[in-house]
Order: sequence, then structure tokens, then C-alpha cells
Amino acid sequence: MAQTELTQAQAQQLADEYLELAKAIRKYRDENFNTLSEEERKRLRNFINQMLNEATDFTQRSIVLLLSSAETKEAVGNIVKTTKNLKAAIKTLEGINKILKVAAAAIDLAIAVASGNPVSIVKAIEEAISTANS
Amino acid sequence: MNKFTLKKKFLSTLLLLIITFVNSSCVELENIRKFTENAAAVSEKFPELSGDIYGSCVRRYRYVFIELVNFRPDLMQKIDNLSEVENLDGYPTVGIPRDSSGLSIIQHELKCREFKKSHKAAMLINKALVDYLKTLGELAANDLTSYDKSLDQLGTSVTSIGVFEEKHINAGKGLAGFILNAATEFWRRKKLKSAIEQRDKDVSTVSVVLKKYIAEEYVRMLNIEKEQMDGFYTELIRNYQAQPNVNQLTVLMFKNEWDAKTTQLKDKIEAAQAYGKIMENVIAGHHKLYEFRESLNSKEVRQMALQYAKNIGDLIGTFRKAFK
Repeated sequence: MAQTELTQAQAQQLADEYLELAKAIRKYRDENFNTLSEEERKRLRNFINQMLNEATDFTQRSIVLLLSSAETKEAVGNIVKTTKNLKAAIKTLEGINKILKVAAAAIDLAIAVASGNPVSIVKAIEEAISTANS
Repeated sequence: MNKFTLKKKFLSTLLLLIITFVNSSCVELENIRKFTENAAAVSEKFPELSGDIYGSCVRRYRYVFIELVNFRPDLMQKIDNLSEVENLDGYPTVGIPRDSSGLSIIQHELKCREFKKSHKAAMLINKALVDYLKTLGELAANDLTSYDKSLDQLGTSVTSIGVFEEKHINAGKGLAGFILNAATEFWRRKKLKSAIEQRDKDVSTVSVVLKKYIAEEYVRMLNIEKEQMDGFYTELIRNYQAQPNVNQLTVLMFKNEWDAKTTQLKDKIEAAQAYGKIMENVIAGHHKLYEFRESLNSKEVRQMALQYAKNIGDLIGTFRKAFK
């Protein structure tokens, strides 16, 4: 018979069942503690630890299968792609604001040049450069 | 009524419609931003939840081995320090027996470290979702399509040329603002609609994965830890009480310690379950936006987005309790 791969749902179910089994054994051990021999108590305690080891292992497998499924990878890839497009759209909108600011700075520079005042010209150039670079 | 009056009336109505459209759409998209902002803020708590899966695994094996070494302080210290050591080659484990499955403490630590690898993968998935939600919110933010300040600046510059009169510039500035806002609002909503439409299924897939990872897998790890811990303290108290000259204060101390750890685990489980509910809200909220994608400025979307933002906000307190 061909061996089939464990699915995430199966791994999850096994993890749950091992945990429930551990709980049931502990309950039995606690309720019958006084009637159990030392050896029986020890064996049951060991069973509990083994069941909890198994529950941990199957949780690990379930997580790996959950996070690495092809469906998850594809969905994450699509979301990342759309986020890039949305960021580009934001840049475009921010660009409109920047164009308006640069236009204002360009007009101020033209006025300063026309006035012939060196101090105003230098200040206007500095502002125009800073606006364009912001 | 002559042709000119009719035309004037038509243009006034059209202008009024544009004004209403531009102003109302700003407010309603702002509510979408509130929803995505809250969802993204909660997702930023994700690393603490995800990282504690490894922590829970370590805490569990510590209970097993502390019991196995019969509370010998020197060996207990070795057990406690193990998770801090990066390279486990040559780590001194003399005196620490194997567990009932035949596994050494090093093997347990290595198994737990597998959860660290999963944590890294989960962080990438969470980052993709957070980035998407944040960016969607940024695009829905009003200040992106508010050109008033920039237009004011431009108006001041144009006024100082002295060619145009100020009242004409103000009128032109107002009209330019309207046209610019209307055009960019339309374009912005088209972009939002397109993203929501294309990614609704993917947002659902990723949110379900993150929900299962935290609200099911992490919660199970905490329950496994609790089961180990309960067994540990039951044995500890039982063995101590079987000894001669029992000090009741010591018993009380053990019980208090057990209670405090139980409360910690309970808070963590509640936080993980709250995270699961938040992911359900993200899925439902995004899907509602998808359903109303043709009318993102409608009253339904405004109320719905606010409701989901509020639901998520209410659940944030549960996190703060467990992860201060």
C-alpha cells in the first residue's frame, strides 16, 4: 500500500488527541493514586510525558504544513505585489502635491531673479532646491 | 426659462454634486483607514505571540527535566540556561538523564528550536498582511488628496508676480482645488477598489493561516505546557507532603507559584483567542469592503468600517493584559 503524506488537519487532530490522552491518563492516575503501586504510578507518569512529547511534535508538523502550503505562499505573493502597486499609487498622489510646491518655488525664483536682489535670489534658489529634493 | 439660465442651473447643480462627492468621500474613506490602522496595529503584537511558541516548548521540557534531576540546584541551573546557549555542541549535560521517550535535553531543545524557524516564516506572512493593511489605510487617508496647503503656497507665489488680481487668483485656486480633488479622489477610489477586489480571497487565506497558527497551534502549545505544569506541581506538592516535618508555608508557596503561572497561561490563551477573533474581523471587514467596492463612499461602508475598527480596538486590551 502506498504511503500517504500527513495533512495539516491530520497533524492537528493527532496533536489534539495526544494531548487529550495525556489529560485522561493524568486524571486516572490522580483519582486512583492511592490504589496504584509505585511502579504503576511511574509508568503512567512516563506515559503522560510521552503523550505530551507526541502532542508537541505533531503541533510542530501541523505548523510547518500550515505555513508552507502552496496556497499560503501564493496568497502572500499576491498581497506583496498589490502592496507595491498601492505604494506606487500613494507616490503618485504625493507627487501631485510636490509638483504644486515646486511650481510655487519656481515662480518665487523667477520673481527673485527679476528683482535683481542677490540675497533674494540665493534664498529662492535654496528653497527651490530643497523643495525639489523633499 | 431661457437657454442661458438652464445652462447656469445645470452647471450649479453639477458643481454642487462635485462638492458633495469630494467632501463626503473624504470622510468615508477615512473610516476605511481607521479599520485598516487598527487591524495593522494589532498585527504588530504578533511577534510576541508567535515568539512565545518556542518559549512554551522550552518551559515544558524544563518541568520534565527538573523533575528528572530531582530538583538538584546545580543541574536545574544547566536546564534553565540551555535555551540561552546558541551552539549546543559540548554543552555539559552530565547528571541529566534522558526522558521516558529516550530523548536527551539537548534533543528537546533542538526540537523546540524548530519553532523558531516557523516563527520566522510566520513573521514574513504577518508582515505581508500588515504592510498591505497599512498601505491600504494610507491610500484611504484624506491628507493624500488635500492640496489646499500646496495651492495656497502656489497662490501666494502667483499673487506676488503682480500680474493677476488676488480675487481672481483665489477663485482660480478654489476651482483648481476642486478639479484636482475630484480627479484624484476618483483615481484613488479606483485604486482602492481594484486592490480590495483582487486581494479579498488572499487576505482571507493569509488571515485564516495566522488565526490557526495563533488561536489553534499556539493555544495547544500553551495547553500542553499547562498539562505538564499541572502534573509537575501536583507531584511536587504530593512528594513534599509525604515527607516528615512538612512546613505548611512551603506548601503555600508552591501553590501560589502554581496559581501565578496558571493565571499567566490563562491570560496568554485569552490573548491568542482574541487575536483569532481579530483575524475574523479582518476577514469579515475586508470582505464587506469587497462587497461594497462599487460604493466605498456609501453610508453602509462608513458604518461597517467604523464597527470593525471598534471591534478590533476593543480586543486590544486583552493583549495588553498578557503581554505588557
